[in-house]
Amino acid sequence: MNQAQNPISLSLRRVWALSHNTFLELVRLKVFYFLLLFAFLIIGSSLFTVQFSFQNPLQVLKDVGLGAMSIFSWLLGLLCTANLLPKDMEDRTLYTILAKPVSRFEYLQGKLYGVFLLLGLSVLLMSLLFAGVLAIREQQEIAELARNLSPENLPAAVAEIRAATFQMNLLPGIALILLKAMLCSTLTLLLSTLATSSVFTVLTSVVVYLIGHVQGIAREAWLAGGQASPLLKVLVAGMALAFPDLQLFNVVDEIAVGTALPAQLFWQVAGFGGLYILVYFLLAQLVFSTREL
Amino acid sequence: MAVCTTAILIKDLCKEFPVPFRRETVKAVQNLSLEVPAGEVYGLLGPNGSGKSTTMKIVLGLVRPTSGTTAVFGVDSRRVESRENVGFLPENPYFYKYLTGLETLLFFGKLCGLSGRPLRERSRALLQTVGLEDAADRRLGGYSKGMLQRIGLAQALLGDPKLLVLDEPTAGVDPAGAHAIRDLILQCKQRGITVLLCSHLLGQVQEICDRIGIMDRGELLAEGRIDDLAEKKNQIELVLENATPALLESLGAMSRASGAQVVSQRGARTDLEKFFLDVTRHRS
Amino acid sequence: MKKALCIVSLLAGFGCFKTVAEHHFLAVQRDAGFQLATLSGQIRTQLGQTGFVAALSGFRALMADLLWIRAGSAFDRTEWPRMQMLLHAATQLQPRAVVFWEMAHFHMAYDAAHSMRLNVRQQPVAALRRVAELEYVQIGEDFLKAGLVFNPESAALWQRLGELYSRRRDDPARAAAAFTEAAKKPGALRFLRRMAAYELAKVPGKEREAYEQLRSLYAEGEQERLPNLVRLLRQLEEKLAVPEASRVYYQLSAPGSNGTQAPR
Repeated sequence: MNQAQNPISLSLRRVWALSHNTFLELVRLKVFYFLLLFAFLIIGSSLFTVQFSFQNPLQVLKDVGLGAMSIFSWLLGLLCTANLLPKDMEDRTLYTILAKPVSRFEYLQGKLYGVFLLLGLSVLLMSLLFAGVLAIREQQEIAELARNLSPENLPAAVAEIRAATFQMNLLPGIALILLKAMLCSTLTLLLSTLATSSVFTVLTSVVVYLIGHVQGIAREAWLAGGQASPLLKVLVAGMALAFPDLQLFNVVDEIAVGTALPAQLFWQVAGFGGLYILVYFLLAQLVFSTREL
Repeated sequence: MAVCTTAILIKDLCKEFPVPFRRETVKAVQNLSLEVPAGEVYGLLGPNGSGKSTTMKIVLGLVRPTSGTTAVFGVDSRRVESRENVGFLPENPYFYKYLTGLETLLFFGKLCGLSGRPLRERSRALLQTVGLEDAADRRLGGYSKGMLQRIGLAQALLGDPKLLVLDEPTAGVDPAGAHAIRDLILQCKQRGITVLLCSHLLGQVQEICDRIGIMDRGELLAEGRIDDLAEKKNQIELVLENATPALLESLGAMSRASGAQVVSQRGARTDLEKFFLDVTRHRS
Repeated sequence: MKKALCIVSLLAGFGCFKTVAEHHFLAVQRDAGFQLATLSGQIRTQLGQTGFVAALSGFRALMADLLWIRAGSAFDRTEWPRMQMLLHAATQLQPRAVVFWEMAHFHMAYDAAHSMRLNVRQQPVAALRRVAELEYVQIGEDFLKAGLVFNPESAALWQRLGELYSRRRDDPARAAAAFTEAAKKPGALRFLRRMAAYELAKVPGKEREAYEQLRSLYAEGEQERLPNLVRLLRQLEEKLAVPEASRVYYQLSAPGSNGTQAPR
């Protein structure tokens, strides 16, 4: 095995050069701009689409904004990662890079960290827009209250409105959205080391994403036992063992309605997500280290 | 530490590729052994599918051999360290379109372990060497084929390599560009850099290489110095200037008298490439 | 082959570890009030296939909002049974959103119930209209109780329950109990303790207890000495025949109110 006989040589400078280059490559992709534009449109337009009866407009705003962040950060990670290796192999840029004293481990790290940089930037931009939209809506609500409430009742109502808009509590929820996107990107990288075409990688990643959100239901059903047929039990066990539970990272919905996320729980889930990323990356490295180029 | 005088050592190299969904394999390289001393320009020739590229990739550590060993300056090719003194120019190189010429060299230089001002200075020097100093700030998406080859050569030279591996360095390049690349290779040779060259342009190989190896179907069929291999053993070429017909007649008679034979006699011709370069140089 | 075995072993080993870890994390998150949504067949019916997939894919909040929009349409057409199903599905998707439970109970216990009472055209028999009205009041109450299962510390839901018992059930005992619970919860509004005492005063046999609560509220100061409280205190003192020396001397908190001006 190529790398197994050598100690894995980590050169931070080389990895950074590769990450930075990958980031530059990805921010020039049309798909990046389209997805970001769509995310901005959806988050921005939520300002105008909250004219529904019965519904707290701030709640709708938060749900739409956070939902857009979740889906677009995942999509961005998926589409950018799926084509990284196939493109380098097709253009033979991979050979030029690996002909330098760069290990495949460093190469993969550089690619992945470049994607992470892109995801971080995207989530930051979307969060800033989201906060801006919430701030505008908050002002509109307060102005409406000022027109309708008496001066002595206004401060309490304003305080309630402010508490319902951008709370600091949302930040750990957004951090977990980013972590989920990073996890899905690492999984996509693993699939692309196994696949020969980026279309296959994208399709399987989408399937894994969907299964990952129901994996919890399957897992709990399997662990609870029951009267299911042996075939179904095997299927459910397979889902539980093979797929990540992505629903664990979806806590922002409850945070948005006021549930506090304990710090310990956040760090536990974040640490677990980090472990997932590490394992998937190691698997990708195992596959890629001996792949015929 | 003893200086290794063998740049490339290949011993009993075999490479087989499995055929998907079948039990058979394709033998890309079979029992190949060759040695390239340091400072030599070695041409690896062969038709398409002969195993040249596979051999090259194994030497560069990009592909694992099925059996046998390859070493670069005494270091096993499978180790990352073996590439510290190697520069590689792939066939039809494709770099990142959005980077400028200078940015491309800076990127690859960092991969070689260079940084800061030394890297910047070396990059600018190389751009000048390959004649691209005016295009340094232009994106590679706007480069011609010849310019891409030259930037590829520049990135191969970035790490001050002791071994250059060039795969079809002049493929698709116009005669002027090819001539410039050839001159660069000769400069490298004069500086003592070992060059492993793969090319289909036998005329160029003949001009540059000290030794060649000819492969076909994964096997090394012939190897040696060009003069030795291409020499026609019992024939001599004699080029005369201002020879009179009478002189030519008496030379012919002398040859016949001594048992030799005049095989062909014609007016000497200049090299078409030289003629092309003269014409285009005068025009520009 | 060796490498393939290595990969499979790593996956299997990690799979076993992560299954246990994920099970643990889910329990911890549920204890903290997360991951409480349930995805039933009814939700599948309400959302359709695409919406259900979206809900499965982590967009439960958005799908809940979509159901709310549809509930709004049902309200406009006074399609109360359909509205009930949509509200039920929305609250299942977002069980921690207190506002959903509040609004759901209100539309059922008040809007729908009132509509039943006035629905002479479709139900000419008054008694049957009354039955239908009470059914919707019950549905509203069920919404609040279900909401309290997921949000036991919600002062708002307890308050709404107290209001429902007071206004729709005419059950001051349960109303008082609900207001008392509400007053204990974080973020409870000040007046809830007064409301609890007011309701308790209506319960036969609980007048003394109500009187003590009102006295202690009065003792807190001006902010509690509202006309209604003062009036009720006096009434209870009369009803309970509290000795003169033990009665609370009261001042009105604002001039011109319709209490009694008594000497200090």
